[in-house]
Amino acid sequence: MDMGTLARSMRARMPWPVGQRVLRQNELPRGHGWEKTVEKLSDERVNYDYAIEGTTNDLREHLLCGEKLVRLYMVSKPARNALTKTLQNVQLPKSRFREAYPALLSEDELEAGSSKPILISIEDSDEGVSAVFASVRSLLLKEPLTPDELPEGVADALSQYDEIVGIKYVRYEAVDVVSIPKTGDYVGIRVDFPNGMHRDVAEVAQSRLRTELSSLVKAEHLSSPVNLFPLIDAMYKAKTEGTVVELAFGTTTASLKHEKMRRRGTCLRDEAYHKGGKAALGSPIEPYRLSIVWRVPFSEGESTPELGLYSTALASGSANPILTDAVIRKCMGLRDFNYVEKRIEYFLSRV
Amino acid sequence: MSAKEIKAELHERWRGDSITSLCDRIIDYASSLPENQVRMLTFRSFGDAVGKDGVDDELLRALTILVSSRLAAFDARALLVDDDDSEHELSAKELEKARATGVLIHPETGEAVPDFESRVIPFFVPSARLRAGNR
Repeated sequence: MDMGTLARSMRARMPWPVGQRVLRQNELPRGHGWEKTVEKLSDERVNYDYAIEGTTNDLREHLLCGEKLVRLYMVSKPARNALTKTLQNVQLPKSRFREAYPALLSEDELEAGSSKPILISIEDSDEGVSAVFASVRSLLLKEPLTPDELPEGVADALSQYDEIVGIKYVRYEAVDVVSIPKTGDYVGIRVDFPNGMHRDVAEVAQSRLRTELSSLVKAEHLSSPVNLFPLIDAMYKAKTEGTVVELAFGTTTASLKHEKMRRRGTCLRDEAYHKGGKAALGSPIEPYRLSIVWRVPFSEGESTPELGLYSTALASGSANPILTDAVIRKCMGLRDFNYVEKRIEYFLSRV
Repeated sequence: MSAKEIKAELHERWRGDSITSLCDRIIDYASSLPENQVRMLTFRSFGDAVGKDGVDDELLRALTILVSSRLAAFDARALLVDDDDSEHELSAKELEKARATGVLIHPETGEAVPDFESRVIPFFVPSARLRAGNR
């Protein structure tokens, strides 16, 4: 596998800060943005062999945990063991996805690809077993267009408009994972959830992956996903738990608020307006949407993984609000991803 | 250096120029607020503070003096705002590089931001110089 192919796959998946850390860790040069970086790393006159193995491992690890929508299922130890044993012995079907893994297929190569998840790898580690599936999914892209990008007649016809936006669906290779840890009570289904993907697409992906898993192991080990709604209030109230960067909540004064604050190191819990508003109320606020960030140390600095628990005011007002999805972003690898999952499990044990 | 000292330096350098009065009011405004309330001061924040209806040439000139001259009472920053209203703080260096090259790299995606000037909100924070005197 060449560095250019790895770089293109990284560009397709990794947020820029994560990609930069991976490149730095592997002593690879960086350009001004992904385009220039991929250009540099695709230069065949330069020998990057020293970094191929490390970068391949980092890419593989990122595929298991980068930008995912996660559902957790409580599964007994005997059932987890049975699932693990079956997956460790399953035969991987031939596919172009599998041949390229961990590199990703380009949009052109995906033209005839399947939207059904195809098993491409079983990753076995000290922490547990992960079954990796690939499929073709679409992402909607909106791009502003300038008149000089359009044919002359078209530009004239559209000259009355202040803004012209092009919409296109882009095919990409989605990588979804079923994770069975050796310790803990939960099996996780992680589907790709890049920025710009509609939640309904992830919902369908979750359902398809679960169906495919059942078909593969010829058993149904997963019942209902765990309800994560109680974690929104619990994590918000835990003053030393990460940094709250987004919070939506209702008040008994019949108001809905949506606050965001992503300035480095500042937490919404401590923000003057937020505290002042709460102090003016006789009843607690009722959070229904939370984004929380942690700092996880690495050998070369730190990463800032983020957990999103996104319910709605409507669900929040119901007698028994349910939220099954956790959106986990900006992880560099399994270390920070597992950290976030452990925090979720910690709070689940206490609600 | 305290606000008082910065104002003294201002009056020394711009002696006789009526702009110093507006600069004084801006410095006093920023100095009067606790640190957690001066994290994002916009043109509008300053305009409201000094009783202007909008951003005019006088306000722009006052801020240029306070930011760009050796007074350095404020640091200029910028916020990149995405279509979905996500915000990303840019350092002065990042914005300077973007303006010099014509290309702003999105801090999250690593891709070039089309028409970036229309997506950037300038803002200001008290400089270390101004903050040091207020402790």
